[in-house]
Amino acid sequence: MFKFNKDILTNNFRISQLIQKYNQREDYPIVDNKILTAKKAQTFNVPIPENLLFIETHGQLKPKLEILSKLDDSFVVKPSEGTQGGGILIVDKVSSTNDSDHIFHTTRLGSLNIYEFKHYLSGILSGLYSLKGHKDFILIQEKISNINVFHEISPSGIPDIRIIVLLGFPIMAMIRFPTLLSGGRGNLHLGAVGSGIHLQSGKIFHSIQNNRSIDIHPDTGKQLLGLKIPLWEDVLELAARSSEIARIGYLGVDIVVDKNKGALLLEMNARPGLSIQLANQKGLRGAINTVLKKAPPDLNYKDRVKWSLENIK
Amino acid sequence: MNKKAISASFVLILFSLGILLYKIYVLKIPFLPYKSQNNWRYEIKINKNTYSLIENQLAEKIYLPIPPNLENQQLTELKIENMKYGTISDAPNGKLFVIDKETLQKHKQFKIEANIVISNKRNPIKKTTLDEESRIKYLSLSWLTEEELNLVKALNNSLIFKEDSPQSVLDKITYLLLDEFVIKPEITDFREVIEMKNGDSLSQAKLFMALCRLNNIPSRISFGTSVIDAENEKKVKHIRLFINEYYVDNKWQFFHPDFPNIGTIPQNFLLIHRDITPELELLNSRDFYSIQVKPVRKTFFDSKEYFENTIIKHDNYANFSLYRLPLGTQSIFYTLLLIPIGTLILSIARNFVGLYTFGVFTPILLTLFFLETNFLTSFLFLLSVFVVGIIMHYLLNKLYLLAVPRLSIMLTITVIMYVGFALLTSIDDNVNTSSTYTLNYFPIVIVSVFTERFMILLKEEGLRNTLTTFIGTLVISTLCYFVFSINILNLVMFNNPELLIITIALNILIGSYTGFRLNEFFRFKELLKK
Repeated sequence: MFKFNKDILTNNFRISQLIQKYNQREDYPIVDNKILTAKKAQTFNVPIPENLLFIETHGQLKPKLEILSKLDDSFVVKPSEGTQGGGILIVDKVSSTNDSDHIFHTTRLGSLNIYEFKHYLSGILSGLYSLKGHKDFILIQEKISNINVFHEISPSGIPDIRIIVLLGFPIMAMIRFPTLLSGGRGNLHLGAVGSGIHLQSGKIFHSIQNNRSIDIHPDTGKQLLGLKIPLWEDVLELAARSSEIARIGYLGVDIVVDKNKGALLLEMNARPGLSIQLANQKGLRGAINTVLKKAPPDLNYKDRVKWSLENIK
Repeated sequence: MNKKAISASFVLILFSLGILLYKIYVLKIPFLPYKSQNNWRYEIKINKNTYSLIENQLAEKIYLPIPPNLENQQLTELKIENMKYGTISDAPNGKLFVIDKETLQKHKQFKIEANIVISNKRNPIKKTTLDEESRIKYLSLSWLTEEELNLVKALNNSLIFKEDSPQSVLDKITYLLLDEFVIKPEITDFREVIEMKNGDSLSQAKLFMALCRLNNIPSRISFGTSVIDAENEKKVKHIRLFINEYYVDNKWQFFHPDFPNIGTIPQNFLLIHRDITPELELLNSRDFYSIQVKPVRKTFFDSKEYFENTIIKHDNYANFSLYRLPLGTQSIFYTLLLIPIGTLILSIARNFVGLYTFGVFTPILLTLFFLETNFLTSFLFLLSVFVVGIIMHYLLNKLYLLAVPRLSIMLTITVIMYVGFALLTSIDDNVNTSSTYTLNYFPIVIVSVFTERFMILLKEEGLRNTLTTFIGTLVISTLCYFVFSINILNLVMFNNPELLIITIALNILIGSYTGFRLNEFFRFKELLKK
């Protein structure tokens, strides 16, 4: 017979015992919709990547495209309700051709002329990448500047740090490095590398790709094991703070570290995955029980992080 | 699992079993109804489309026959469309709904629907008396022209001797028709029929009748259709039949070359009208009358009889019994009551096994689609929608279309494919008569839901995930289809709907299971080793 590992968080347990009990349905939009997340984050003083533009209707496409084509810096196009990096497009540069057309140089789709780019945007507005398939908005954000350590490891994209926060207490963390296989995206099921981070030290202690343990990044061969995440304290505190934005008791917080601005809240997830357990080679149930049974109420975010570091091993 | 859920489901199961046991042991209502006869739905209507083609052939009055009650058949429900525009004539040989030619021209759409129980017991034919007036009527040969009469007489003289007893006369006529007569539907001229002994089914019956009457045996032609039941044949076949009746030994006995056991009530036969007069011969015209006979359901028991014999004795319980409903509605509930079982299978497949499906209830809808049409065809249809959908996905990707027009294109293609499949599957069927393949909106609604979900998933999650989800969906809907096809389960649920409470209880138990799904054993294989 199967030997049950009681420590593993299963999908059934996650849905019935965590999501249904601790996540308020009314607050899902705050988490699912990046524009709402951004607005809320500002009122709570949570640092986020700078938003350059919102595009909400097809009518706004033309005027806003003109603004976009004049941008000097690179930027990122995101569907407001997209998940797992779906629909995200990084525009490195906008150039003009001889007959004053604009070419958008993207990482994922190569060079797009203005019509192709416009079509891409209107696809987002029509809800191609939305969670529920209905009308969506577009968020244009500044591109994050990757810190050197990470750039050396995974030049194909910026890694993000996923932290599971239960009732405001960070309980598990991993960092996802994009690979060539994953097409620059951070989705583990597409072939990105997931690395478990030791909460107390902020050091990577185990990595997986496609469910197999690895020690080095497959594209660059850089050592992952033992790598310390820069600004680790900040990252944890940001995760704990972010959980105050919405009444989502069981939350996945995605954080990026910008070269200049430090830890920034990228997005949140009200139904965080189970694969973090694979990256950490450890089940979540133990940590969940500790928080549910012992965690003291009414702590501020700094104390919550401190409590987690002391109590969750 | 939490205690609340366990106790809640325990209470529900006890409650449901309580009702069941009370029913069986106190009210003495059996767990399963006894088997008995066969229910059919008879439908006759005047074909609007071809009506104008034969308008000039019409008599002043048009008749729609309503099947009579006989030893072997029982009319249980009757519905007439546009009833107020006609009258019902209560002839001794079966009711007729009579419409004036003018009314018909004005309204055109007339339809009779009836539920009929046909028993396949070999009931003996009852003795009847024949009064003098009827005797004269059934011996009359005035419907033949002089030339035809002479031809029949000549045929008769070559066949029958004066000293022949009525029985040997009948035997000779019977053998003539069995051995020599060849069915050739294109021959309808009666002179030719007599000379060549070829002709359509009606001419054959007329020849038999003419010979009988000539030999002083009262005889008539009746009209009906043979129904071969769905369980044995998969497909219901019904052929329009003109069948002869002759009056011998104080009994009206049947003869038709296709039916064995001469002299008994034919099996699998629905008698629609007795004594076809010339104005009713139009019943032979497929262009004018469309006649359909469909099984109401596959099981062999008469719910009306069951209701009256067993259930109605208990006033209070009878109020809650599904057998009170009209038969047509009942047949819907047979499937409807199985849906909770389907959802139970779905809950298990998703929460214990971890299969993924398009939407939550799409697999159940697909099961209904399978049931509504036929399994193999609809299964192949879904497969082809899936394959074409994937091809379209890659083709449409090149056009950079917006989401809704994209879906509209795919739906249009689905409709085209549906039309194609409907045509393909009906190739071997004779239009209007032998096909049970009924087209309605229901299947296409289901397929649209399916197509939409599947195209969105393909766009969002890519081919691999879509394929897994598609397989999951097919597995569940196929499983449900086979479960739904278990006849006994149909009966159990219909007879004991209180069992539905148990499915709620089981769902509560499944819903409070927080452990591993089967697929998580593979997903967390590495972790579990530790």
